[in-house]
Amino acid sequence: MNPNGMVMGYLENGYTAAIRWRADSDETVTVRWYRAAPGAKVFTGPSAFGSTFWDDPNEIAKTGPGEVAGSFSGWSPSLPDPPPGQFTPTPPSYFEFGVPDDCADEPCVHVSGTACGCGFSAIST
Amino acid sequence: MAVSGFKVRMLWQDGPLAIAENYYWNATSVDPYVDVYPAALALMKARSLMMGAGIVPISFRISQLGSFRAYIVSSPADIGEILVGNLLVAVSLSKAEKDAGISNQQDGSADQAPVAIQATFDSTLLQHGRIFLAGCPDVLSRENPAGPWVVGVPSWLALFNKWAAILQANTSKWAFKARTPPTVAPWAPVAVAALQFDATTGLWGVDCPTFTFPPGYNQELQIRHFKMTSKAYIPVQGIYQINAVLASSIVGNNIYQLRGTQNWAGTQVLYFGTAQGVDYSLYPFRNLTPFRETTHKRGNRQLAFPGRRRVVQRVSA
Repeated sequence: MNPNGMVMGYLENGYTAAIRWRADSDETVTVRWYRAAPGAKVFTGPSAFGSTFWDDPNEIAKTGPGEVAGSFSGWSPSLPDPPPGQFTPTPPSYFEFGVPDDCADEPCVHVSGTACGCGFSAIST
Repeated sequence: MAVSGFKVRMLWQDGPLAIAENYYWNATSVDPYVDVYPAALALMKARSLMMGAGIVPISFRISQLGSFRAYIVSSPADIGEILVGNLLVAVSLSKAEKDAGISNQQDGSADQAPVAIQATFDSTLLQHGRIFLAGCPDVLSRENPAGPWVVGVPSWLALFNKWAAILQANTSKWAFKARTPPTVAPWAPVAVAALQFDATTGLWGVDCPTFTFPPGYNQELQIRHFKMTSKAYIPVQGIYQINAVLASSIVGNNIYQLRGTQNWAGTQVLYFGTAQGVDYSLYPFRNLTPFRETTHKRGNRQLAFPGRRRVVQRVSA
């Protein structure tokens, strides 16, 4: 599963957090939110992998695919050379429901062994 | 009970800060792209018209409340159609303006410019509430309240009324989220008879009459009116998640074990207070009217976690 640099949400700073990425499993992986490249397209389809930054902890689901509430593990610098974010090779249904268990797809792994999950576009100043 | 429906979080950029507002869509939807999305876009357009120039609509995000997450981020093409007011917001003055004796100070008030307008409303339960409308054109409210604000619109009030009409329309499903009034069981407060410590978990529990919570309850209790034997002890007041429900030796009671109570000075309680369930519901807007300008609350502005918020510069004359 790889957003490939498409904008998945709007934040000011990048951070790392855990996500449950499988549809029927509690297996988690650490992802990094990074600044999307200029001109990156927005992923407007339904996605369970939005940042919980804007969510009320009482409202978000405690189970299922998506970012694990309260799993924030630190601020993270942006990627020096983010993907252009013009498309994602991942089927849209994976973003909505998680990656099926019978799929051998893996979260893309980026520099320093950090799993790279979702690109984000910061508000320009 | 658990709140269901959709939450729409709208985001504008105001210089280095952001203005974020939440609205709730109190209905189910087979396809949010068909009903929630266009409604959110129309509401954001109306809200954006009330803001000052230089404030840029960024995005709105629709998230489904309840059991499953589904985030929809607005299309940049749609946001690009949103118009923002075309007058300057005279919050700060240039050196030339200051040298010319121009002041942005309000008469008889502190040296701050109004940056938000409070609006009041109530719900069907006649609970009164307030909403802070950040991004208001203070130059309009202070110097030219009659407008025009946007060309063709006679005053800011007309824009406000248009936005309010969307929220209050009979067919509208827009709502705000508020605490369920604690007037009836199971949300009414009950007296706590005792505290009990569980050595296994290290958590404290409150022994009180059994609550009959509805399905989907978010499992939180609010503890109030406890008094400690000394003010040196940390008060136990607060909202806690229920960790477990245990049997009580008192007939008709249960012990509600609460998370995050490891540090309670439970043996230093002078007298016990009350416990009550915490619940939120969605209510329709009613009687939405502008109330007053304010400088003390600048609306819901944040981009970063609270510890990293930037300090807002106050404006001096």
